[in-house]
Amino acid sequence: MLTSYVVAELLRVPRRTLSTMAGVTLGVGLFCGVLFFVDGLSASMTQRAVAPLAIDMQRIITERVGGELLLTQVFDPAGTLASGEQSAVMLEIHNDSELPANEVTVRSTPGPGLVYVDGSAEIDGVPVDDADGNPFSRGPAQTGLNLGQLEPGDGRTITYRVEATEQVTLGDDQVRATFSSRELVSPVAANSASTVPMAELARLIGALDGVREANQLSLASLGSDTLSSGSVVATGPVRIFGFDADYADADDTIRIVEGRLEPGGAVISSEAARDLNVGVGDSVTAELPDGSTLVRDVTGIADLSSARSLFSSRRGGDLETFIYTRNSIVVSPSDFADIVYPAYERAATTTGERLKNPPIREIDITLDDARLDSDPATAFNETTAIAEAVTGVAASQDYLLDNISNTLQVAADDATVARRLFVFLGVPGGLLGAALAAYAGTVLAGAQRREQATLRVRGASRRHLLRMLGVRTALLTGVGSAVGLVLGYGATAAILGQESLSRASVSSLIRSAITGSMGGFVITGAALYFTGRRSIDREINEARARFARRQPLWRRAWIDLITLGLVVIGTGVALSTDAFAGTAGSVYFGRSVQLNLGLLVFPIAVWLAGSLLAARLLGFILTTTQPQSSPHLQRPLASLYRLSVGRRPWAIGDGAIVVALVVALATCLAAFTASYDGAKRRDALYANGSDIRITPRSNVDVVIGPDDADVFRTEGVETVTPVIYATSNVILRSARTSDPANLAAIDPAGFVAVAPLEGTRFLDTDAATALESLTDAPDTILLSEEMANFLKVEVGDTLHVLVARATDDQVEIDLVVTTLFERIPGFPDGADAVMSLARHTEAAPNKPPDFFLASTIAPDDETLRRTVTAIRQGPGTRTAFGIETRISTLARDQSSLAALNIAGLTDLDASFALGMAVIAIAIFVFGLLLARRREYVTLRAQGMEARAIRLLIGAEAATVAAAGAVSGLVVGAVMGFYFVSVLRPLFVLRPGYELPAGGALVPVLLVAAATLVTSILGSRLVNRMEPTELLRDE
Amino acid sequence: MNTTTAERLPTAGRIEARDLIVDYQTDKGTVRALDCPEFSVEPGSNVAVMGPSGCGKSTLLGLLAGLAVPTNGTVAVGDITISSLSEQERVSFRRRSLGMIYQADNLLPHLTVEENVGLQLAICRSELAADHRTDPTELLERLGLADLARRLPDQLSGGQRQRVAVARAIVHGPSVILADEPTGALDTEHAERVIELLVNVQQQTGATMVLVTHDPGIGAHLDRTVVLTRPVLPGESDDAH
Repeated sequence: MLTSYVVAELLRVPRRTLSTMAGVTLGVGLFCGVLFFVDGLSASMTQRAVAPLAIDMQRIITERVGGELLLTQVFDPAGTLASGEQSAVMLEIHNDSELPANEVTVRSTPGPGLVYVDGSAEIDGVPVDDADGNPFSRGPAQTGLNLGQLEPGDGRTITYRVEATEQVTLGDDQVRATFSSRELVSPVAANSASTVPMAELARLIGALDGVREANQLSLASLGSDTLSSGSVVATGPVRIFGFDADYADADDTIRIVEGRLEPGGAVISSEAARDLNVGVGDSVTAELPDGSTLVRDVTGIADLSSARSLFSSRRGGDLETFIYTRNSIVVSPSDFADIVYPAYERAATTTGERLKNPPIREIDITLDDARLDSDPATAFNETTAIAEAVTGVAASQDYLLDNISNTLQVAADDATVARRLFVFLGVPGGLLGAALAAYAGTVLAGAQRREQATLRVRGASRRHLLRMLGVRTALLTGVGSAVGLVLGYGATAAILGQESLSRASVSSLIRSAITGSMGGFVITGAALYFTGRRSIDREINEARARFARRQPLWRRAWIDLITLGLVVIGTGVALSTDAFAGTAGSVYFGRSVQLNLGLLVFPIAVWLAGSLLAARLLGFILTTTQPQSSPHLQRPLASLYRLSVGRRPWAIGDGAIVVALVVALATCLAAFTASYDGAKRRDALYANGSDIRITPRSNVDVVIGPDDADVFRTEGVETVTPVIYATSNVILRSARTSDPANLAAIDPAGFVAVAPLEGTRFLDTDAATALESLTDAPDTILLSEEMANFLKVEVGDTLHVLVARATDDQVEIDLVVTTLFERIPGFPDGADAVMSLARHTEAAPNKPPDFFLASTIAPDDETLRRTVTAIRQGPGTRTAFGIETRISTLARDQSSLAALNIAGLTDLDASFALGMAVIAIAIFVFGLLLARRREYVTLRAQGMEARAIRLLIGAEAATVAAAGAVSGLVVGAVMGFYFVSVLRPLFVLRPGYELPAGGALVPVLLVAAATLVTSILGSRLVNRMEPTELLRDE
Repeated sequence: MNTTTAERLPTAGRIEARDLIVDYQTDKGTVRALDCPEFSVEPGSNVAVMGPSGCGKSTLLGLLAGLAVPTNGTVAVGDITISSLSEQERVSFRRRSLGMIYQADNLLPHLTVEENVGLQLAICRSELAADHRTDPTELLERLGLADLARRLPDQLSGGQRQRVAVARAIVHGPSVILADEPTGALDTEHAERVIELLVNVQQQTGATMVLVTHDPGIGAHLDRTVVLTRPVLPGESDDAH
């Protein structure tokens, strides 16, 4: 009965019902949309995270140089020992190789429940001194016994006894025995399976579920000047690789530009081919560490300059660094295993010293990325399981570098941060939905005042009214939430793309749907219910509540000013503790970017309290500027307007708060998106060094010298400048120490013209001045603060710089340190020092630039694309080179939170916010009509023209819109600033704050348009009212 | 009788309505709200309109005020047929010639007493000759409302509010005063005082007054009483109501 009455009432006044429900629908829609968005985005994080990986997993088989040693362990008796029983532990170690093993150390440690029996230790039947206890596990460090050298074919037999202190079952886990040697530092367990050949290991790993490919790679540094052809020697360090065609095919950064990999042949790098003046079919000779040589016919020439899988550092603390060696030779895996590797073994055993850079043998593993779960956390579990399976193949032979799991762990943490971030971005939308529902509830309650009074006259109690309110609220929010759920999904699919959304798991989508719709139902329902309940109680308690209105709690309790005060104090504390700085992420350190998301409370607080403060100020202005009571009203419309807004400021204030909240959110999102995208663009430009980076291919015969930069000055290029730069391309030597360093040699004027120097910090001077000083003082060098600290040099000290290191032209020059810098654009691997290109060329005339930086005549993307096309079609037709642009650099940066589709989310937020702005204005205007229809028809009866009434309605709505829009713009601008500040750690450069005029104007114009349209519609409704009926109603 | 220009609107005049029919279309068909073959009031006189609920008293008043137009028939005030005027012209007519009083005071709640009265004058100021204007302050004094001039309607009693409504209705010197149950919400004592006030004002200003009431006692204060009967559609029996 009650329900059917409420349903009939809702259907009877569809406009009122729909406007109330619209608020709920938009609020729930936005809330659900944000959650769906997070689902969709998380679903692509795995793919984005693993895309930049050079190698998913590396099964490293290192430091086996030194021969084949084998340790066996048996027990007599074997099986289970009762307490007090003894057993003999018998260890046999044997050198099966053809080379001696040096400083062979055996360690054997009885486990819990077993103790060493004093005086029982013997080696080859000779007792061993055990005054200090077990001689094979001495002291707290459980040091083993050094047996000295084991000649080829030689062996030792070690025995000792153990006694059980409790019942123990003997086994290799109970008595852990290992051996190591000078050549084999990592301890190897007794009874280890014999070494599985690499090819077999690769086959076994490749057959594992989840592994797409596993290929063997061997690599070693041959030392300087070890590659030759006839009498011609390729100057500088040489690196030798052993891999097959399958490996090359799996890695598209290995570009074989001529010939192919063939067993028994060799592929050499383009630079080596050029230096040795050889081609396919010629012969090259590699000098191996033991003095032997490897002579092979050249079957191919490769551009390896981008081969990250080959040249990424294998050093633990430096895994992300690309260390290129220009002289490289690739042989077949069997050649490496049969010829190169034994040469190292011989070198290791004959020199008596550990090799500084032993050969590295590894199985490089590529996983089937497509099969990984879209959620990084789940994918991490999957790759960890695969890693365990990989490790389980021929276990304890080596160790595994699990790059993909490390990356996914960071990505999973990033995803968590992203979820929290998005929730924060979604929170205002949810709150806005609740605010809109509450506002609609207020208007609805006001409109139902008369109906409720009639019901009370007819005997309805407070309980009846509250039950009706409950049913009405449930129906409105229930239907609104259901529609909002569909709307949220549709909007997300439209913005993010159905494909992205469909990648999300069904369970996560269902979870989001339930959370969003139920959460929205509860929040908006509560707002609607409690507003109505307050109205019912007020009606019952206050006979004359029509005009007397108590100030809302927030005004009486000064919540707005107190909150803003707390924000100011909190901001001061955050600034003083550098809380906005956060921590940048690092895959190597397994650390995701750390944002202080707690600080996002500030923008939310600014948003809410700022909007309330704006309403307080508006109320103050309207009240204080209202005219004094007088019977002589000169201009009736103007007087009516001023009296209406001056004496009923809360109506304007309520509407203005909602509009301000909406406009502020939209403004904040516009500012946030613009700043975020701007920061990403600036970061990309900074990393690239300029709009365009042109890197001549290593295999080209044409050398483009420093004076030939103009070859790239095609249509669209404004300035082009040459740069000499490489990792570890110089040795910097101070009075105290020396170190390889990354030197950039630049043309100061050109570099200053093309490079974005914003964000580059120099000590005591600005970047442009510091760089340009190199022109006037070419015998100077700029040094990074970090390198200066390492070399222990100060400004004014002289530094000895070995330029053109490892080439025929290498020469040491003296340069004076003039200033220190923190970082410089264009060198993602870091520049330790900067000097004049002219001075560098003077010292090493044959060294050509490594790349050229070019700026375009206009900053827009279209000009950039046109310019790149012009370069490709101009100089690009004559010689080959790689082109990186700020756009391609930006696109490649997909591995961190900076790659998040913030714009998509803000589009979603903004779309709903704009919808809410329209609804808010509509509710205000139609609320006015509901509350004041009698006033309007009275004015009509008094002879006021419809046009004047329309203007009156429009003027009040415009006041709401203008006040809300202006305050919303201000509040949104401040709110956006906080959002941008919190996200600082995502970027290399400090993100600038951008408030796009267009983005900020959209909500304002939309509010204005909504005001105009709803005012016109509203005044038409006034004209359609039945004055006769309305005027006679009491 | 088809003159429509605002310039020719009367400042006083005879009210005459002929063959008035007002029908409403509803979901259940046509409903006749008023069927009044003839209704007239002489200039300067007052008439009470009575009749059972649903006979169309308020509808008739709405037609006389130009707030609605009849389905059929004519309404004339003086020599102007207001039922033929455009909405704009009817607004102008109301502004210049009409004062209305309702059962509810319908005062604007955010305006003080003097502002409510002054607003009516301000609305029609441009169309009134100076000699037709009444000083609102003087009028309020005359009606005993001077002390309440700066109060808001919510700060007045029901009787006081209705007296303010009367002041608002006559401040611009209308030629016609229409009152719809003006004492319906008042007790007998206040009702008597308000009706006496209304009749006095009407007689002093010489306006023509039509007053709708259920109360025969109220009707007795007026010159003449017209009783309306419930309208019926052709073919429909009176019992249907």
